[in-house]
Amino acid sequence: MDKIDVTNITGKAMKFGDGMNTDIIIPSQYLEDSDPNVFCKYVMAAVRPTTYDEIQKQGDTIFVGGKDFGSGSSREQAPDAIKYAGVKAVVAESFASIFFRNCVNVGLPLLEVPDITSAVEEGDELLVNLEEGFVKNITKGTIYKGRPIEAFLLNKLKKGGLIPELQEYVKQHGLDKEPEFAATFQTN
Amino acid sequence: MSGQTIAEKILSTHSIDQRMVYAGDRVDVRPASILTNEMLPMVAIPKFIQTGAKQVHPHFVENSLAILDHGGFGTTDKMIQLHQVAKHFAKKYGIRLAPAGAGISHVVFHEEGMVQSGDLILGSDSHTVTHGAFNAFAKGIGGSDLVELMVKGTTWLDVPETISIHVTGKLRKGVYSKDLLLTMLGEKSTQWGTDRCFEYSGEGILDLSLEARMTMSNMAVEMGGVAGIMPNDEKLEAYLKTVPVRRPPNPVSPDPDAEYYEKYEIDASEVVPSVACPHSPDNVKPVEEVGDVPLDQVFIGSCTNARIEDLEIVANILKGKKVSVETLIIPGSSAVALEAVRRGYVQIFMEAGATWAYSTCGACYGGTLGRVGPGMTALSTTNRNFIGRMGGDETSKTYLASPATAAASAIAGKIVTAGYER
Ligand code: SF4
Repeated sequence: MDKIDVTNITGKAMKFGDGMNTDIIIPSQYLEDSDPNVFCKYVMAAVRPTTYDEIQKQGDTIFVGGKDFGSGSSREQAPDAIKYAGVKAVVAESFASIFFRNCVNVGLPLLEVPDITSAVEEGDELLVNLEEGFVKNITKGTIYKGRPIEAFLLNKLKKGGLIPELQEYVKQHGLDKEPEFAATFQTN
Repeated sequence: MSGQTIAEKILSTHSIDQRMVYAGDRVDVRPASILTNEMLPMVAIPKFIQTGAKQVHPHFVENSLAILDHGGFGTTDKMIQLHQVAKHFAKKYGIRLAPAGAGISHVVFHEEGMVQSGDLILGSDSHTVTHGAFNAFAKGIGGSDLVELMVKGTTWLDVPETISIHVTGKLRKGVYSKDLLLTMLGEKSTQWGTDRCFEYSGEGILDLSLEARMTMSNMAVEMGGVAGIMPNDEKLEAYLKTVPVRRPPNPVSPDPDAEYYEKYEIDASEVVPSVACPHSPDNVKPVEEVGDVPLDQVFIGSCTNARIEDLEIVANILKGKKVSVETLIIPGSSAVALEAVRRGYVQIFMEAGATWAYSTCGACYGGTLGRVGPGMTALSTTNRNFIGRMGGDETSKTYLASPATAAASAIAGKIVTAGYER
């Protein structure tokens, strides 16, 4: 998993409205294959069936959403689907709490910016800076302040999410070895 | 130091360093028990392998239960394979697992004695909040968070602010806790509780059975909340004596000077049978105001409303009658199913022409049974009616209601009330 430069995330805006819940982001029937490279092809298919293909064509993409982005189920495949489809960040007016945490865990940068949907048009070139908490609309030459992500979560994002952090933990604590059952017998 | 809410108290007792915490604090916690489902083989096991770990933390091994509820019994090759992965992993590390057919997580988990009053419960499913009905703080987490618990036995939480929901009065006869919950959702919205938790109290809550309380805690997440905590009382204490729970009870009530983000009050006696219209659980109307909505299908099931009390309500309405649309009834667990057989409900359902299935999530998330196809209209006792949730697309319409409304509507072929005290 790659480290993320959280000060300079760029891409073309792809716009979605309010209430993009997890059943829209990735419907459950596509999740039987646990490989995110497979199920990401169906990202947002319920509201915009061409989403995946459009992202492949235009390259780096930033999702722009309205209120309550990611509400509903706790499925982490939702941010995984967005990330593996090639989306560099999600900027929305507000996020559901489990989704927010899942984004940090899978290493998908996100920023809450009030009124962002009216400030951005489909296809605008955006730059997201999480460290300082703003979005720059390069096409329009405007800047919008968001709610900066606090340091604790930002650090997780920089490392690429929770799994890289746990990889370090596993090494430090020697959990990458099978448990030694012999030791248990000796203490008896 | 000011007083604490129930959430603040439970998160304090489960904090690793046993400190007093308040809303806004971040805390490392060790949950009393951990719930998981197919999220284990779909997300957590592959990511656990990525961490390089070869051991699962003993706290996780001893205090978790994996329940294979979403995928159904032998449905597709891929799902069977996922279930096999879960079973092998559970066996290798000694993790308890309930196989496909055992029932829905949020019904099986408490039946198996995984829940005690005062517990902190974390689960890789958003409806883990259901267990708030047992005077516990129960919250949904993601697959990676589950991996963190598997590796470290701990994780972190933000202590939420609390919204108090005080229910005065009692529900009228023929009006149910689902109607009460839907009424609140209609008045507020699915974003009401974002990042906050709910604490229920009042005469209208204490009057409810445990099962009816579970329906309300279950849908705390539809109101946007991270948890929905019910008070302790004799009903809960009596119930907890009937399940094989290994911890002693630790009932929690809020301090009189606890601080709340919002104090909301509702009079239960004014609530009428209600229904959430497509495509959001907060698009709520009284049943008598939805007009003429002919149905293609009725679904009675899910972790919201498929316990024995729900089936009893349905049996009383269907007895000696015939359904006029396809009606699927799925019990919440195999224990619930067995009890329904014993009480003769299954015979009533089948004589009424309904279809009785084995216990699984089924139609609720558009899974293995009873999907709602394009152009179809369904009435369901579940918790979500988002586009595509039960299958289909934006032309598929799902209405959410209580088991009573669902049973009466199954007979009528359109949405009607089962009748209630005026
Ligand atoms: S019954 Fe429905 S809401 Fe409950 S756990 Fe299963 S899919 Fe989720």
